[in-house]
Amino acid sequence: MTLYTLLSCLIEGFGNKETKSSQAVLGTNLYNAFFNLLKRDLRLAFRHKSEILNPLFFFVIVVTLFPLGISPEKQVLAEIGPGIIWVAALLASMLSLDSLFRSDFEDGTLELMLLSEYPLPILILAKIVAHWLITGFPIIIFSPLLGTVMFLSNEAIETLMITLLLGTPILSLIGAIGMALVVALKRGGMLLSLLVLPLYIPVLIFSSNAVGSSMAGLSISGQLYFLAAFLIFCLTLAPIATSAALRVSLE
Amino acid sequence: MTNDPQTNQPQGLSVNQLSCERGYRELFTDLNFSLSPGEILHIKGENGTGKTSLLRIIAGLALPVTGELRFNGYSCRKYRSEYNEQLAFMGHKLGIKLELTPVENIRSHCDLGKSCTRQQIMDTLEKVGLYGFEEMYCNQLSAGQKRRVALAQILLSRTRLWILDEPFTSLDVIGVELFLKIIREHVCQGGMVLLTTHQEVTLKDCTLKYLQLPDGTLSEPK
Repeated sequence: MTLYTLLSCLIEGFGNKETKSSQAVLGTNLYNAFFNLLKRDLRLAFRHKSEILNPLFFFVIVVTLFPLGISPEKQVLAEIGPGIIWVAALLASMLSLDSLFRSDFEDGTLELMLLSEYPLPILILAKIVAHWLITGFPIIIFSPLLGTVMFLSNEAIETLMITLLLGTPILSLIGAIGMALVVALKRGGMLLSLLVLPLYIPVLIFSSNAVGSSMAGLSISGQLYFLAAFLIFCLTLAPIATSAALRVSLE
Repeated sequence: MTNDPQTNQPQGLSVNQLSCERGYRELFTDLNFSLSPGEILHIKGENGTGKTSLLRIIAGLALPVTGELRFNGYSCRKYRSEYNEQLAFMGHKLGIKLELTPVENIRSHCDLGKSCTRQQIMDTLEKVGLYGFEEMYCNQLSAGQKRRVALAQILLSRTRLWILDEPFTSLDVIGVELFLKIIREHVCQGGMVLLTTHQEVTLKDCTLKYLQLPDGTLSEPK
């Protein structure tokens, strides 16, 4: 709960900047629309705690199953650890995509969002940011613990956190496009994973490779640059693609 | 359609040669009508004649097969943001979050359009008969009360064109009367209302027109 208070204070501080000139009014209004939508989604998530806890528990449990299933030996785990943690993070993020648009679609708020006077990509971006704060961010916080379980070195854990910080927003952004396409379908779950998982592959390859390299003491700047570039690419284009997909889906 | 006396721009909504299909079945073709400020258009028709589809097309949520929509002379698709600024929509799904209170619901709806103060929200909630329910979660409200929250959202949107799809569903007699009174006030101030309902709408001193689907004939009340 304190995290929520902190976040909402932060957002409140940003959102209520005083308007200096009338020219800035539209900009400020758009700013308010963005932050208030973000705040609404966070508030909803904190009233529905399962939305935050389910992906996190899934992530933790999947990772802890591997030492039980394969071998608790240090060498084996340290080798497969980065990949396992990343695959689990990927699946946790994908399973939580449903909460991104489903409830808004069912109660009609998504329609009203489409009919807003503000640019839809900006509103969508607010929803994606909220989704990342709800599902991706807790995974980052818990990753050092799981890194320790998998006997990763300190440098590798640090790299793991950096790759998760760069990678999980990409997962939310790409997932939003897929979710927007299947939101109107009754059973879109399977289709969603077919659409989205192939697009997650580059993130998985570069991130787990970066963690492995840092275990071996190699340079990881190449992989991180790629992830950062991919993040910027998705951040600029995914909201536009998502809003186009939503307009088609809701027709 | 009337023209603006100063700029000679046509005022209001005009629909030209609109046609719509649903699953290879033509719902309506070549629909033409216009709506000027201060008018109400009641869309009539049996089930499945495309009333909801027509309203969704006019709101910009669906695309027509052919035809175009103009608002104040401008194409609604080209100037979507300007058109949306003038538009309030109430569909079958009300757009109310069950986990939020009426005040929070209205506030987040207002954030998508023209912002409003807490006092305005409170006054509007009192006006629609939800005094005392401001801080209850919407999943504890009845269907009619949720409808009233949606009505408050429409009222606070302060837009000119209201598109209402079966607005009187699950409202009680007093609620329907209240809604009609609010519609009348809106129209008297130069607003426009498009609505579908199977109830008979009677409004004094308002221009009411009927549009019969699927053939698209316009008529006036006798």
